Amino acid sequence: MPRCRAILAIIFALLAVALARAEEADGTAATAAAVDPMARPGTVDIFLGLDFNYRDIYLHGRPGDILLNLTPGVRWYLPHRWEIAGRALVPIVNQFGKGYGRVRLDMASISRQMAFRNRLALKLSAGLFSLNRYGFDARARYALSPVVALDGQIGFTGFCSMADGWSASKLGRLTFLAGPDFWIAPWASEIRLRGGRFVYGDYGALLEAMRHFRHVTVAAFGSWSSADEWNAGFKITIMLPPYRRSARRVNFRPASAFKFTYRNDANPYLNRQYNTDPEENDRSGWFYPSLLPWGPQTMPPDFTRKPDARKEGAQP
Amino acid sequence: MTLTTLRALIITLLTATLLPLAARAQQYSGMNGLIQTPSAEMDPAGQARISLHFINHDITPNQDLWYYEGEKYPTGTLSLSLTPFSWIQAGYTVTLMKHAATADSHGGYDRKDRYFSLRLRPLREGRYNPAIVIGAVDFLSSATLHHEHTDGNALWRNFYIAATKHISIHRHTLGLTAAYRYYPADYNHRWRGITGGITYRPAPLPNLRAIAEWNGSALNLGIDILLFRHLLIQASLGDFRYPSAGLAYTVNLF
Repeated sequence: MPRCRAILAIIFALLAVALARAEEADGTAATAAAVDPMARPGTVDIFLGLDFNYRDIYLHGRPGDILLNLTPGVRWYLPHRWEIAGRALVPIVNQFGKGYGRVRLDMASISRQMAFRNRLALKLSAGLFSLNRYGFDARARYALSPVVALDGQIGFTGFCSMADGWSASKLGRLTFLAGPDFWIAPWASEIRLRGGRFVYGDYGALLEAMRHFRHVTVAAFGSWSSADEWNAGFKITIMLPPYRRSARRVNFRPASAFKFTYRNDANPYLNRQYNTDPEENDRSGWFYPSLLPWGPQTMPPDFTRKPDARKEGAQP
Repeated sequence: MTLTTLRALIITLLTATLLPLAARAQQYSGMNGLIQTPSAEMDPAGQARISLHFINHDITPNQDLWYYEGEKYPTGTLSLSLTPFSWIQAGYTVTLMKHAATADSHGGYDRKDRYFSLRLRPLREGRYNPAIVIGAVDFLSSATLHHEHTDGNALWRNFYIAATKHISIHRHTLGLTAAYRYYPADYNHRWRGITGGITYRPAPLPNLRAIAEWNGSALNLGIDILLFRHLLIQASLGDFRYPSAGLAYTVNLF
């Protein structure tokens, strides 16, 4: 088994290199999508967000439990759409229990995004992901048409947590999700169906209907899990101001988004999938918006860069 | 400052803060409607609201969970609602419940009931025809999700069809609403059947609305007003005796 894991890791690394070369050969890197205006190589974003969690348990003499974390994080943009990102969790209100009370590293990952012929976007990641997972992850979107895209994700991860001391397991959990995504442009709405194996080992499907507003996305969802659990709920994603960001080499800003998910059944172990990016959200998706302009990424961008004052001044 | 000057100042301030978006009511559930009676009025697309409401015991179901030490108790609600398109509104409501002390708890308002609401408008209000809305409250419970053939804790469950027509007379607006509502649970039988109400918006204060409604068992009176574009306030008297009140922050997401 250890040999299998090592082989898988090597295959993953070779795949990353091969795909990067294929992308260069494809020539897409030379297009405008090569450098996202919000991800200029060499710049660093240092951000601070809020992670709000709520669970419907009334066993502690109150209507529910709240967990509120500050999420300081860093994102370092590298050439060729390599990126290093991470964030910590700093609990400020913790009614969830001992395992949630420590200041700890939540995510630390390195990733590479690629695009092929303006149809296929691919992201490879490795490192520590959310939900206490570490390992490798690949996710892709193929735009069949302006209306339909296919999404896929596969990950090979293990458990790693710093919540109550250091504990980890070996790599061993294979997760995968795939399904179509429909974009209804006149209504700025998206319908997304994904099925596969989720991070806690359950198989299932998730159907989401999203409405995108100027800086807010609201989604209603229904899900089924092989543990014979149906569930439903809603998600709110609010992109946080300022919407014009400075263009310095090191930028301090709030986190891109505040997000909240409400599940009718509060089971935290069904239909869950980790994030590989500390600011990942349903609105921004998995990739830089300019990498594959499809669906919500064809809307006016949430964030723009202020002109670089030094460069402007240098011009005649 | 004379009394006339003061009055003029207050009216000027109020008028200056009231903006064209009319208040379309806030029920205890955070949805559009009158006080406890549904109507066919809808928010504009993109309108979201988060509301807090104090509700008196006359609005809670006549069910065991709403009695504490033999008496019905008043409570509070927190709700979120959104009108993603002009023809659909969805909402989520949490109602605090009072509970006797147990080994784990001191008792009091330490539990809650949760429910979703949904309204669909198949027919928009026209010059002659009223708007029609069909709606469901507390239609999705944990029991439903687990295929249990019970109502579970669907304490507020009801389904309705409502029609509303507005009549404008010299820029004063009169709204007429009639609805048929069905509550499956017998403890809510008093609200089954025909309900309705009348609203009035005076021309000088279009964001103010006076409401009189028949909820199936009692006559309720109320008033709501939208202030500073975002703050919606409603106060009411149930059965002429029991005060309820709430406020909401409302914003258009476009």
